[in-house]
Amino acid sequence: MLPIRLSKESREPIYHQIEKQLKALIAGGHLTAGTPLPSIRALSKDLEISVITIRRAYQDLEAQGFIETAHGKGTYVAEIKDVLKQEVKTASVSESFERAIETARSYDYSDEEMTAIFHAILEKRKKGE
Amino acid sequence: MHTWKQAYWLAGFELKARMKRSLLMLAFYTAVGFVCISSFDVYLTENFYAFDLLFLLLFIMFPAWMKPKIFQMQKMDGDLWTVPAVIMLQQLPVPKAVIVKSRFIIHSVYSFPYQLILLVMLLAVSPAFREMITPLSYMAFLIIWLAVSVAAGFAMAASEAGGTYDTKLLAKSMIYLVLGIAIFYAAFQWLADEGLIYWTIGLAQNWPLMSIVVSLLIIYAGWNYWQRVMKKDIEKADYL
Amino acid sequence: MPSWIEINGLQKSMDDFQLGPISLAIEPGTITALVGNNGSGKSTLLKLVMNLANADAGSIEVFGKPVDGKDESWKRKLAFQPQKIIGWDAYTGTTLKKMISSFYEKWDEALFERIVRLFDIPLDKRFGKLSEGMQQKLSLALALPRNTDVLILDEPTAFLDIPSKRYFMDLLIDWMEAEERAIIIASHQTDDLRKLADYLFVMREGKAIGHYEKETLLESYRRYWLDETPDGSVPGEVSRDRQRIVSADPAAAEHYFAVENIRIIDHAALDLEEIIDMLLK
Repeated sequence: MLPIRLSKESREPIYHQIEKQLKALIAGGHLTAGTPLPSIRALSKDLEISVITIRRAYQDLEAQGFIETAHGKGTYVAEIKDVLKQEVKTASVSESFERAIETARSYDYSDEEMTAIFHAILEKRKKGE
Repeated sequence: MHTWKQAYWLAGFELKARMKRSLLMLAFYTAVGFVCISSFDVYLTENFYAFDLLFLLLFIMFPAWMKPKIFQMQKMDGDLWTVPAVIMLQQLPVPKAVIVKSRFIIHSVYSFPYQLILLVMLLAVSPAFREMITPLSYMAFLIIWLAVSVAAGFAMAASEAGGTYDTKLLAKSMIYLVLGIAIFYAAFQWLADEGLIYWTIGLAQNWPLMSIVVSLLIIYAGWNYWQRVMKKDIEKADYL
Repeated sequence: MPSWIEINGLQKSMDDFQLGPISLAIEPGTITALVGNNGSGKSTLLKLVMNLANADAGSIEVFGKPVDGKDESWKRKLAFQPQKIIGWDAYTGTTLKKMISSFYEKWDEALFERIVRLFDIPLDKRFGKLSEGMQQKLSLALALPRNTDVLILDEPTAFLDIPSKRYFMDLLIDWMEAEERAIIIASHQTDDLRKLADYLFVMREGKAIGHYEKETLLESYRRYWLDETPDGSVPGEVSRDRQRIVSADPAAAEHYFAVENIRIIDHAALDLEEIIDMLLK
């Protein structure tokens, strides 16, 4: 079973959430090239999401070259270029930062205050190691 | 031909499911028939008219009553009346023509053997009947009555298609049916001035070959007619 | 994709009940749940698909064939499990299997045996003598192995306990995986069946309320906690409890809040059961 967690609270469409999380798993090396993916129907049941939505996510991923479908053999993780991997990673990191910045903005923090917190966390982590 | 084969195969399930009970019922109804028919001599010698009705009852209604209750006409949801098999088989890929034929095969199994036993018993219990009939005439008499069985008795088989009947309407139509039979019978008595069985014996004696031919035609026509009626009724009914 | 089952403008009136007009298409590869309270007309609709009754108006085509036509061969492509099984009482499981399996070319004996073992079904007992739960298990064991293109189930889990329901759902998933197939399930229960479905066809008192793709339906409702109670009615407003409002048109509602200068404190999706309850009210 894939470690995919969907947030029904989010405004982000479900198929998009699935796509993003699968991309992250692939780019992060958790799913290596050639790993078989669950069938559309099986994933649909695990996530309690319709096959229409899962199919849409799979089709998008296939179009972008993350997965391949071998006829009659199911769906596999594709061999992807490092550039693409890098892009996914950067996108995922950027998104987390953006979310953090949004939270900070809603409390009216200035850019300087945000940067200070950011550096403080980095310092703390360094010490922790 | 394939249709008949499939119908026969399907009918087998129902016939086998309650075989022992059915044989027991046949024995019971034969005994009842024997008691009733014992008065045949009285009918022949003293014009005991009620015997005609008794015989029609034995001949037409008893076979339908012989069927195990679980396979008989019954009330389903709401006002729907039918035999369970008609619904069950329509939920499977069984063509309607096959359903009709399988019902007819089952009705035949409950009708013809019993009716033949009755007709043979007439010979056994009535010396007066034995004296008045030749082998050829007896043959004609037998076929005339099998024609009655098909023409009238198989209306019972066709009615198994069922449908949505109001209980009141059902009771009313039963009363009309009984009245109709009574009127027909009274008119027959008045016109022919003799009993129904007596009349058929007359036919068999005076025109044996003609009777056989006409009866066989009636059997052929009735057998097909009632099948068409049942198929149409199944198409018309709402099994909801 | 051409539809396997196509219902157009179907109507049927009975004594005190009017079904339709209903239009519905079933596509290959999908699970459709018919959702509605008791007496909403789900069973009647399914029986009309099986040509067990005559429609007053409209048409039903199965694989391009009108169900009330002369050609009855389409019935081989459908397996129907009615809510109330009629005519099986006198037969044992073994006999029923012998009869039913003969009609379907692709009958899967191994699957039948697997289900019988899974549910521990006694095959030598008459159907009428089995408990309701066991009857339902046996009829499932006699439905899935037919391997028809379409499986139609009317309240198939009403008498199943929770573990059996789980087995049942796994069986359905496996069954769907094997080939291009479709399932229609009627259910008035609020249970996992709906989670299995791709489409929901919602009915109320014989009328079609709507045919929804599950996620589209989920995404079309949203609950908002606001910092003040809006004066006017909010676009798509379905329910209101002071500052807590449910809208069936989130985009328009959020635009309205922005224009009216109402702040959204929090927002959340509704779950399927809540949405269905609202639709059926």
